[in-house]
Amino acid sequence: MNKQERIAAIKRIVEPYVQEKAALENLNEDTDFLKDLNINSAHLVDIILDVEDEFDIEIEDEAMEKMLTVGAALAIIEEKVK
Amino acid sequence: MIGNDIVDLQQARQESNWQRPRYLEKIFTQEEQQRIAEAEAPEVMVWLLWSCKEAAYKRWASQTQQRRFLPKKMESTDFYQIQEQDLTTTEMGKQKVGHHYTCSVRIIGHHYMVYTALKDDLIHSWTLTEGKKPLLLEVAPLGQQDLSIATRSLLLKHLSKHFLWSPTDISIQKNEHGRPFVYYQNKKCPLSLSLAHHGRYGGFVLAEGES
Repeated sequence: MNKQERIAAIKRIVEPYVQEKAALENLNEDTDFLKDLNINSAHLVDIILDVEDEFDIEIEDEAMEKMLTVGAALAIIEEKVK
Repeated sequence: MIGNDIVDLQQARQESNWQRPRYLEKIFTQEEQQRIAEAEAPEVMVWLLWSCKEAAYKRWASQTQQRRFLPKKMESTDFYQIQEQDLTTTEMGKQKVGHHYTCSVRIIGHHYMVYTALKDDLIHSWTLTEGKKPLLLEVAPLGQQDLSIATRSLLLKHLSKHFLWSPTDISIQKNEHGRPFVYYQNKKCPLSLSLAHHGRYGGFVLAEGES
């Protein structure tokens, strides 16, 4: 899976947790899950679990701390699937 | 420093599945998971603890100006119900009925005392610098409008009533870290404020002093 495909997968994962679907159109590496997409923090847990399932990885607490943006999620996925 | 959080249990039921595998382990410490497992109503305990942790997180984030997702480094302990006869008006706000609790939340070396109230489907938690009392503490159903706008309207209404200010003289502005502040006639007021909304409810806690 290349980077664009990974971003597309993240977009698919976050979609159900986003109220304002229009905000998803401009999703890029700088997109902040909480600030830009208004995802509530209880749903951030769901996103982390979905990412773990989708990419068959385990995200430890330390990595999870930084997972506030699409770019940070990508970096964690890249690191783990290596 | 100040923080508050609201959970609408009806909304939480619709949008979150706390029984999803690994969900609780990701966000709760061993002690918290134990407390949930032993609770009479585990679902309510999940959101009571989560709300306490979120209120404490908001206070921590504004104090340290950090943003991190560290639910397990927010450790709640000493979760107790406050008996009705021990409640002060400060702890209750306007919610004279329902159940009231207190707990201590530790976030990387910081200790916060959090108060939380549960009435029907509504949980409201708040925390404030020790020794201070809230000037205003409100939570209300907001109806079908944009929640963040409606929460600000609620705040404006109460500020206007409390200080006898004209609503047109009041504005709420966020600083570069996203912390909201009250402005009167375009001058920043020495008040600390935390806003929250979820599901059908919005609310806030306001105290004197900027920190």
